[in-house]
Amino acid sequence: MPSLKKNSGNKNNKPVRVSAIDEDVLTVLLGRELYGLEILDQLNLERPNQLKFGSLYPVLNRLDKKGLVEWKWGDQVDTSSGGARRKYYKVTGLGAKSLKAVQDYRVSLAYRA
Amino acid sequence: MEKEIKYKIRNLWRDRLLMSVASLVVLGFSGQQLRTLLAHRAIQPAWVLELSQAVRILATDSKSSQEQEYAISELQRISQARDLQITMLLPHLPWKNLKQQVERVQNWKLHQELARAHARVLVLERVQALELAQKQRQSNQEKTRFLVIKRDRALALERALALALARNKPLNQNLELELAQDLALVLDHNRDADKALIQGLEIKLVNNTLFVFIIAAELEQTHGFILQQGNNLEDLLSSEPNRARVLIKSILLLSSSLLILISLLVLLANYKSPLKLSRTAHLMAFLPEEAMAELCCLKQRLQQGKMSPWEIRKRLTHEFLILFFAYYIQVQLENLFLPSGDHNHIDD
Repeated sequence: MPSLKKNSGNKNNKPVRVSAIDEDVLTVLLGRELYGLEILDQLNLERPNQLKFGSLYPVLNRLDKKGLVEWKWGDQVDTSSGGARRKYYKVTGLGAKSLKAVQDYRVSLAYRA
Repeated sequence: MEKEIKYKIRNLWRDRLLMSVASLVVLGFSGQQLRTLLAHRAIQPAWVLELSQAVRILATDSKSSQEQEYAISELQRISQARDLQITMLLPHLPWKNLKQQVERVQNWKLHQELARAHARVLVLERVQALELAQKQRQSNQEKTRFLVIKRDRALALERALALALARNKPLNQNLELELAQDLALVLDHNRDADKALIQGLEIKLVNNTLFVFIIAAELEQTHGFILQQGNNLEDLLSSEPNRARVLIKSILLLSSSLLILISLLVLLANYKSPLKLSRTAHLMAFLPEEAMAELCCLKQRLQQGKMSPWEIRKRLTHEFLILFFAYYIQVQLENLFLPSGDHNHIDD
């Protein structure tokens, strides 16, 4: 089981607590850079309850604040958007570590069962 | 988007919102004043009230002659100005002399009381006469019986009895006739007195009622207004100064609030941003840039999916509102318990 200690900064590089939906987003972002709509597309493929922007943005903000994801600005979408740019997210080292800790815990649970 | 532009757009919308709220407040105030105005508007013109007051004074006997003269002059003035020809003539008619009629009625009443007392005396006298006659007859009968007992004077007694009976019969007849005549006389007298009294009272009542009725009928026929009398007139007269004061106050407040409302609406219509920006740019001032970019992508995707414009609009509005809530409430609350995380930019 990963450490459940609340992340007080990512300097110690210890895995931090992630919720189920955080885990889903981290899994989708692992090894690639995606923007919000693409993340939703990936998450909603076989999901019984469809996620929307209103649910995704708080998760991305939370992961960002905890240092589990990082982002960069993309190019302007088009002129109709008023020059708005997308944010592309990707998993940080800490994020990958935290995700791996959760996944390992689940595997060990499965073995024990 | 530059922070300065974002700031300007936010200020623009803040000012618009403030002006809209102020307009709504002024509109509500105007509505309230309009309601007050309608509740306190005059049901009838002031001259109808003055006419009603003059008629009330003339129809009331207890008013002084000075008041009645003033009421007559008012009645004439109003009827002349408002073309009420019958009303103008009414005060000059002799049937308004109510004082003489009241005296007449009082005389009749006194006379009726005297007649009743006289009748009572007459009846008492007749009753006493009847009683006396009855006693006399009884004594005659006793005497007759005494004579019968005295058998030796039977014949004489028989004659005396016959004579007494013959004498009593016309006496009784005369007494009964006189009593009947007296009673008839008294009854006739009383009937006349009652009739006169009732007639006098009716004349007085009819005069007042007719006077008011004629004026009311002419007023209604000529101008369509109702002549107020009794408690209604009292209420109207007592509430009139207050009603007029509230009415003027409401008119002033309503006109000033409408002026302010029109000014605010004109200001709101002309208040535009000096920068020509698209609708998306305006929305970007309130939501994160990336959220707007995502919404634009979503819109393009929905349009490609051949959804109807109404459905697209509905979906985007829903997403916008949810994002608005998430960004300004949920995320702000969560950030209170999370580290700053400013260093997670890839470019850093």
